[in-house]
Amino acid sequence: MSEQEFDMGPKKIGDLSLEESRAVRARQAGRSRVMAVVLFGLCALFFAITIVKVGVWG
Amino acid sequence: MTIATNNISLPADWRDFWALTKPRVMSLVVFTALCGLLAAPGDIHPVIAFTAILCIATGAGASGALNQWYETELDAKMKRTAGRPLPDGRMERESALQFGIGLAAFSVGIMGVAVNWLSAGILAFSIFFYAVVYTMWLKPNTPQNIVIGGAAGAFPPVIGWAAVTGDVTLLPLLMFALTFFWTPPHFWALALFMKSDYGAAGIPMLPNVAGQRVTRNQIFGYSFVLAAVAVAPWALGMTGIYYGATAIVLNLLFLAFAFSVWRSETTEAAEMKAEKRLFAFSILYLFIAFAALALDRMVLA
Repeated sequence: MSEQEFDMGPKKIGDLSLEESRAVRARQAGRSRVMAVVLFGLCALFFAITIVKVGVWG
Repeated sequence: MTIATNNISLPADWRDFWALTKPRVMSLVVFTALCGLLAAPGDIHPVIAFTAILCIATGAGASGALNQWYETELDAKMKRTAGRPLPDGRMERESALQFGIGLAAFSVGIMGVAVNWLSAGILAFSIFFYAVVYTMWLKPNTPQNIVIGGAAGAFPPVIGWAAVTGDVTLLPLLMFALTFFWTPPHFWALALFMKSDYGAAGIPMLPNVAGQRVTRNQIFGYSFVLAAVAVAPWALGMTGIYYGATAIVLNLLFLAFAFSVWRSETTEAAEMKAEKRLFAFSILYLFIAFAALALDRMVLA
């Protein structure tokens, strides 16, 4: 399957040029990846805190 | 950052949000908080200890973000800070404000629910003290700004201690005093060789307002108070000889460096070797003093 088939988003954002659209989307993608890591870390932390608070780990 | 064709502004990069939290300051905060936590008597589950340190670091990050949001125009006037995300135009001011408030609420809330509400209360007060009392009130109005404002950076070991014990006793207050009296010689040494930068921004730092001689006298004077406070935990029997010996050696060195600054008459920033040496040593001093205190208490325990 080619890479093209997975590219579901528009090529351009509004009136922006292709270069501008790419730069904006790259910046958004970077922020989304960091948010994903942070949220995953928080889920793991809250789970661990809950387990500690209910006394399973003493 | 802008792109040429339509002159559009890119959304802020995640690294710009990270820079808002002042990571280098945060590392010192995390370290002193960890030492406060390790020096405290009693047990704390490692997960809760990690959460407490994470919340303290996040709270420090919130303070840094709110500080940079408020001081955007001042930062733009100083070489040292002109490259920060807000004065450099890489981020909207509103984003920095929302980020700071969000981090503050998150850190205090999680600290209260997961650790205890005393440590959460002190954390909330320290964020308020740095962002409002120091940044908005003291810093632009008085040359004593960093003396009183130094309290903001002195809270982390107290919060670390309170996270374990749920109370505040004499030793965490001495740890608070150690950072509090360390701050004036540390920052005034920096202000001596960054005088023109602070002057350009209109910040009334002591060298700009009272002159270099007064600043050098104050640095030397505060170094004696710092030495007395640093030795107190050992003299009062709250730590052993390991910390006592370390504190004595560190403070003799600190006094020697402060004496060089006091004796110097240099007015050219480029020639201020003694001031730069004291500034660099003061950072090492705080790391070693807190590490020795925590290790000594762990050995005693």
